Amino acid sequence: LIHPQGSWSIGATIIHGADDDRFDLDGVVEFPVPSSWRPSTALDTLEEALQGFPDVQKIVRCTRCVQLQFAFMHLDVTPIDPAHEPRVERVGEIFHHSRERREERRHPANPYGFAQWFRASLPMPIKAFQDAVMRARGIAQRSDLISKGMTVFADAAIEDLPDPIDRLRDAPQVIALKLMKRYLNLRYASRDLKRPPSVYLSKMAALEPTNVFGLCAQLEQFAGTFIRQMEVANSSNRWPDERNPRLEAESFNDRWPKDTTAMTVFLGDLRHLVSQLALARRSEFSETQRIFSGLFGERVSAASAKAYLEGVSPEPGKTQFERGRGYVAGGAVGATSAVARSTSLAPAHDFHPGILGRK
Amino acid sequence: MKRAKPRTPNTQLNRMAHRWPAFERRFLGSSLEAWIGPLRGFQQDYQVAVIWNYGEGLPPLVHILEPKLKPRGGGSFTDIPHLIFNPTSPEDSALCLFDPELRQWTPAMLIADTTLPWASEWLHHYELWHYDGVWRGPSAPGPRSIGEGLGQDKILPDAAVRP
Repeated sequence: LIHPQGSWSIGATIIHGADDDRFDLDGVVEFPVPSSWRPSTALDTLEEALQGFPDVQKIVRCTRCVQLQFAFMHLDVTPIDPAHEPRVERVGEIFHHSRERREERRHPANPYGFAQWFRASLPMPIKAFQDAVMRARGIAQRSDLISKGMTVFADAAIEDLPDPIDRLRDAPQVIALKLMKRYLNLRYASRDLKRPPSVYLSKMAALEPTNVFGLCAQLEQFAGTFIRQMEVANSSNRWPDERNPRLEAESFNDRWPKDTTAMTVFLGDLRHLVSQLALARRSEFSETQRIFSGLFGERVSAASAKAYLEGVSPEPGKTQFERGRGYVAGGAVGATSAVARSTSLAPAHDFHPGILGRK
Repeated sequence: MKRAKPRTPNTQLNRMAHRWPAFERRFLGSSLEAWIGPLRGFQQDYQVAVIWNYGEGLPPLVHILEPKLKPRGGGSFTDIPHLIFNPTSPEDSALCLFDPELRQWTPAMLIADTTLPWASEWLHHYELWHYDGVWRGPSAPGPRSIGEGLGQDKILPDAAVRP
């Protein structure tokens, strides 16, 4: 049985960021493993079984999974040994094997339960926000690449794939999570350091309330949560220890942070992110694009700009505005709060050039 | 049916105070009112001045105070779309917000409900124009800027500024 886990199962899949056009997906392969097998044997067996997988360019053995590298994506396949019956659905143990550190052990895990918890924890985004994201996504044309990635699995025995147009993927918490992951991918691309694990980021994202001031504010709030957690960890030695809400024995921080340096580096990245977002708020569009390119990559930044610009209608019509503040554009993803508030309409008009004082 | 009777200064003042409370009224003289305050563009707010010389029957003019009006890199002020261009001090040019030939603004209209929203919309498109040089706002037929219209006889009719 193969089922999705990680970002795939919660609708938070991203293009890698530091490596264009590449999606990172996670899947779980569930099979009973004899108790006499060492973790390395289970991983070796899976690696062997995956040889010859259609369209795979390269297979890489990792500490807890086997990575299949395709043209447009990487798929991390993690073997899980199902727990004895009676069993909570899909609970089991995953395998950890590090040749360098000579470590071999098993870990209790319930990725399926976590995905269910994640999806149940998030409120559905309001319709105006969903519509704006859908419009931007349509213009940026990312869905075609996701489809290419998914066709790879057409012949595999796969169950319970999440709906690829799941509305939950447009929740502000999920988009903030994707942006955070992209940002960290770029920050850690040239570092020989382990980054905070996605599952830890995901749990924290699901715990964030929806920020009514839009996407940028949602991301700032998300970063602020981690800043406080890192500051507490550094000052009081209470390190993050997030657990799987559906399996208390599963720690999401068992491999990160390894030391205080890991947290200090993460804290520095978060402060940089927040300060750059604050700068972007005060800057004009051209400068904002430069800042966003630095934070999330030129491709995402340019795609967002293109999506926004193509959504701006040149057709004359009534001007929608928020009293005391100003114009409300129709295509803005970040305009949730403005859309939610009451707006007024000014009469239709056309801009027109002239010369001052000419009679 | 559209209202024809001009709004009184008091009506305009009250509506401005009610709809745009952050705008400060400045009394500039007899039959001359001004308001100064913040107005949203796209990514940033601008400090603008709205000057209304109702004594001469002119429409209100909107000037950008901060950050200053500026051309795109390598361009000139005459390339900025939809300005009421001030040849002696281009930075102080006003925004051209409506087509006077079509009488899209008349003294029967409320400044708070027309001029201010249109100016904010202008600022939004101005910021996007700075990004890629494309003006996406609604435009009257003909050239969009003084620079674009240079050499074309038909631009800038007398009514361009004074409806």
